[in-house]
Amino acid sequence: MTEEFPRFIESRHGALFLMEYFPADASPDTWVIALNSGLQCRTGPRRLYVHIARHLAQCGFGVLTVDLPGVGDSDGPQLPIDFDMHDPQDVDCIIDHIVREYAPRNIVLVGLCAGARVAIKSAHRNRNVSSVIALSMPTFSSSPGTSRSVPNEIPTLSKSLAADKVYRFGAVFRERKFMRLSFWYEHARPKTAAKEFHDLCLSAWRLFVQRKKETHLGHFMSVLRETSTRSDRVFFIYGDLDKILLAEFKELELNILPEQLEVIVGGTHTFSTYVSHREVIERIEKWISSRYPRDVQITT
Amino acid sequence: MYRARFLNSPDSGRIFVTTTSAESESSDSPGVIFCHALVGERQTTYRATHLCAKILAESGVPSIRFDYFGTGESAGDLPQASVDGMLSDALFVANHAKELIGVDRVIFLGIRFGAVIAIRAASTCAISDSCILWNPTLLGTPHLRELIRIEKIIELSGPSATRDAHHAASLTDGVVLEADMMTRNMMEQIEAVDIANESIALRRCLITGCKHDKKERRQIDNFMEHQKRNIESIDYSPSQGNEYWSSSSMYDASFPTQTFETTKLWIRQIMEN
Repeated sequence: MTEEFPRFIESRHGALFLMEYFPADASPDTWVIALNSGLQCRTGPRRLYVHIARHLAQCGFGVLTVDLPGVGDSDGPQLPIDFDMHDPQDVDCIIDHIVREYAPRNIVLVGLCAGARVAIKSAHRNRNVSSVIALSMPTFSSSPGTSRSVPNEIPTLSKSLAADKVYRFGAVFRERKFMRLSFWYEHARPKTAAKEFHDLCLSAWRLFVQRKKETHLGHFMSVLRETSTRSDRVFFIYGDLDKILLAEFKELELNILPEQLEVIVGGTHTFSTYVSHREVIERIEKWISSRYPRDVQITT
Repeated sequence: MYRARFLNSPDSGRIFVTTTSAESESSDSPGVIFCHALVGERQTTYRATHLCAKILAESGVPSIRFDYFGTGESAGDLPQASVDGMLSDALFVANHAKELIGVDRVIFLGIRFGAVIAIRAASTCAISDSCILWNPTLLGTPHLRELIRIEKIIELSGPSATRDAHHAASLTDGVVLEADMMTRNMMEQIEAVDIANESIALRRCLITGCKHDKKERRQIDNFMEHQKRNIESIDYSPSQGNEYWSSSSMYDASFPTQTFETTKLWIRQIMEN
């Protein structure tokens, strides 16, 4: 039976909310910190973070789910809508808290989407971070639009992304999705249809006409390349249905080992399906357990 | 100002509760108990309820936000949840209002499907006779269908959702929502909801809605027509705001500030009368 303690700590923006998950009868030497997925509060998309935390705590790890400033129950300014909305400085504050309170041997950051980006940046600057598990991490895209928006940093990975877009549009006809009412409800509203058509034309242009240009590697890219070079340091997980982000990541051609990337079949951006939700939790636990075996015996 | 803790409910186990105390104490002030929306809408409206609690606290009104059993950070999972259980949790929290925020009476504030819980709780709770409904879903079946439709959009992504459907079919009857199973029992309880025709008894009710949402307006009008004998005073306040409970709100940092203001002023009116 695990224990859960909610608390507020002080940060540069005011009160910061944390939920601490403890394994029963154990003092964990490895702590996992789950960082907000964008504007979603600490429970994560579809309670993913709650399930991760409870499962890892049962396996003997300490876990912290947090609301970064401006999210959930934490004070803070209204956040911009981009994948870099979270500041690694605020993650430092949480890491300092854990180090002060529990002196863990290992600290693992877990984040989905924008949470993954801030986790990578935090790992790069904070030596207390042992490793990062990055779920569905956007790489070239700097901000979200609708689920079918064209990445903002243009040109990025023109050929594969554009091909994917054209393929997806073709899939609609191949799989006769247009025969379903739900498809038209989602796609046939005027604004959505116009944007889809615009995106399709732009993608086709890139695919067939525009030459692939040199991609611009911003600051985040260099941080990502440096952080991911150690095979025990970063683990990337994507869902195979999160096609654009996965394609972007693969085309980065990071110097990583095959075991540093896991693609979950049937997984969407937030691992929203019944099976992929459980698979991602299992993968996370397996990876952490293999790298940070627990010294303590858990009494059950 | 903020405090978070767990309460132990004899029916539901551990219920997670966050309280926001008023900045200036007032012996007349009621407390507000937020009843959150179902599944994904809880996440999308979470920050809005936090901000509203803060605004209310600044105007002297303390509040409680809690997670029903099987949701948020309370114990349990979705397969164990039920609409009856949600009501029972709301009443349990109300019984602790004096201990949590020092109030003798409460107003239930329900968001979307939480409005169903808020109305039922306010009708039965000894220390409540008023409720506030934010963009209420007053009919269960269309709301459930909408939640399922949003979930099924995932099927557009590819055929692998079939695997999930097969897996779900092998479990107890129900539907996969929030990456978990909503049981047939809970589905039936939601489908049975028709608040306009339920037996309720309230003194006051505030309903906030979207100006451009005709379906919502029809439900509200129907409710007001059928319940005008059971509720002494019903106030309806439409606002210009966007659908702050939908998933697109995760890409839009604006909040229903007009709704916050309307709520604050309405409660103040109650305190003055």
